[in-house]
Amino acid sequence: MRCSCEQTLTDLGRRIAREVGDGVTDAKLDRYQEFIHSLADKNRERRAEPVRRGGWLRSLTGRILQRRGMPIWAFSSALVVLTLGAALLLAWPRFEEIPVMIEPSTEGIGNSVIAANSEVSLAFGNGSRFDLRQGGSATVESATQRSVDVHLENGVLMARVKGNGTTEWSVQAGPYRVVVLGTRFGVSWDEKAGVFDVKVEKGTVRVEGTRLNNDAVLLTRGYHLRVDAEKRETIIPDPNEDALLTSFPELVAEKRPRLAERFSPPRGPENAVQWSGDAETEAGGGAHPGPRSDRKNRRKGAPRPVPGQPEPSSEAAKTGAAATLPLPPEEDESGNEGKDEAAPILPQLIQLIKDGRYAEARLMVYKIEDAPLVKSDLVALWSLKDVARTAGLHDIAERTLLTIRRRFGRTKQARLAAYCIGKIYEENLDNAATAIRWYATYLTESPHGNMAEQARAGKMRGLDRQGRAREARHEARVYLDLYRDGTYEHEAKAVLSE
Amino acid sequence: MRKFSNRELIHGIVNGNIAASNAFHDKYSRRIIRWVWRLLGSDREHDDVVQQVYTSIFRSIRNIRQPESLDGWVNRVTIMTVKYELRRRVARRARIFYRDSRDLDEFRERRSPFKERHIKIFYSILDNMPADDRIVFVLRYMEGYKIDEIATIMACSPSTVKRRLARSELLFTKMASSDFRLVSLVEEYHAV
Repeated sequence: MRCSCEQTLTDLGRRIAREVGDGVTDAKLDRYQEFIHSLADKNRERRAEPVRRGGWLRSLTGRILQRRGMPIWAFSSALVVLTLGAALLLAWPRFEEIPVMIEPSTEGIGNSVIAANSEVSLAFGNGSRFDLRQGGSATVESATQRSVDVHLENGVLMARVKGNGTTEWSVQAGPYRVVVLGTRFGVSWDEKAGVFDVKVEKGTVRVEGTRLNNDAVLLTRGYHLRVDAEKRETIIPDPNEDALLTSFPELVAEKRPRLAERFSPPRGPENAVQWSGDAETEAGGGAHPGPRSDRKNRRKGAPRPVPGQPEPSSEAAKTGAAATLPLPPEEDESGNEGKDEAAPILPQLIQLIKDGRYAEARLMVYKIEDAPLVKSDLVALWSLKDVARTAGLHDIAERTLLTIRRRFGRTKQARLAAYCIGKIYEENLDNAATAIRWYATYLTESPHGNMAEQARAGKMRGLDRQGRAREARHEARVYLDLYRDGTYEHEAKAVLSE
Repeated sequence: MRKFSNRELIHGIVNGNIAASNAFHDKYSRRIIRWVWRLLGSDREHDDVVQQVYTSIFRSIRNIRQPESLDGWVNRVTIMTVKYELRRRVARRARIFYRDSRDLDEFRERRSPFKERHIKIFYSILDNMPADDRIVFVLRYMEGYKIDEIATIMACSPSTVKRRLARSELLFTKMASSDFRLVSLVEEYHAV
């Protein structure tokens, strides 16, 4: 085949070559000879010119400048800026993308996923998985080793994230953002009604959003946050009446008994908890104050309970342990924030933690909108932080430290709080990126503080863990310059030698 | 006319010697014109390309370190210039108002319409080939060079030439078999 083809092509080529000819005519040859003479003349002229170093560069720039009508300083500046820009572009850190598979693939167009007919899964390269329930739509904004951002436009998203400490996972739903700290959780966002729900099955997430009372809410295992566009509330899931739970049937099935146990009200008069704000008191055998029906009535204009007296909670007692939470404490119109009323809360909170009754402690902190934290003094807050950290309640510890920073911003403890938060994120929540940010905050605020050495070492470790080798080496160099015989000298040298 | 060695030729051209330039013209011009003509397909821009070849040669001939390699160097400059021209054409063809100038062939009047059609078809197939493949194809089948010679001209290995040749042959036969005009063309020459 090859031979016959080759022969055919050879014959064909020869015939075509004969037909085409060689293009040589006497007129052409004469014309080219003249042209060659002109080239020879040019060569002779060039030969006569003195040889100057960098002549080609000068002639090139001169030609450009002449054409553009540009002064030489502008040209030089533009050249320098261009060079610096190119160098910056080359040196800019690049992060590898995490591959994302959409299953079934027909439901995805580019980065957008619409679960029109059935559930759609987003399978990430590291084993993490986001399941988008039927009727939902989402967009993968970015998926790199540094951060994975998924925008839930509408519907329910179930997430199973395998965190590695370097990638920051987040789900944006309307005005809210759920930052994942290695976990399994579900997010629901109803765009029309403006209702946002998060339910954490395992691990911890941080919920941020403009409509939340605080800057961020840390949710741990078993907790469920529901935010309405009109009202703001944290709800313990009630299988009987919470319609949202239909969104997370498998979570509810697993969690129901545990939740009931976890949020069971304190028993006996010795465990009485006094709630801040309205000074609601819960006594032996009672349920949480303020069941949903009472709260509704109160919204309609019902008289508020008298401070110091227990709120009627018969309905809650009938329905059992799981019940809605009380309203956030409202500010006194006269402006008298009840520091005196809130003061007894904190020792009780500390005592609850010391007794190992963490769920109740958490309830006290979260469900009454930080009132015990907001209305306590610095010493008490610092004690609460210590106790919470010792007990492993990192969410409460972080919240307390943030309160300290917010309320006592100019104190030494407020600056130290930044370091403590960084340490929590590094050691307990396994989130190097956030830890680095907090360590950097501490170093900015107290460059020669007591914990500056530790903060710098922590920052260096975090950078190293994130794979930001160049920055880690820089940090190690700075550390060795400042602390020649420091505690983390070997660690810094190891980073430098990598 | 005086006969110049390669060294004298180079030295003369660098110094703008007219006699040396004429000797160069006599020695290489026909080959350069023929190659450009056959590779590009005889069109209006042939003159420009040939002049470009001369300009490149006269400007950089001073860089030749071994005078004995002058022949190969001239061949390579010619091939490279044609290659760049072919690539430029591919880019130009993408423009909306590009018009192929092959119709303005000055030799057209001498040919019969039948042969003219064959030439057009042949070069329309070549236009679909990558520049390197096209050059190898023309040098092999129109110029009749051997694989090793083509490898020397193209400054690549014989196996690369074989690979390019196989690719261009495949494309040529494929396109020829998909068009009845081309089928008849190939069959006709095959019969001959």
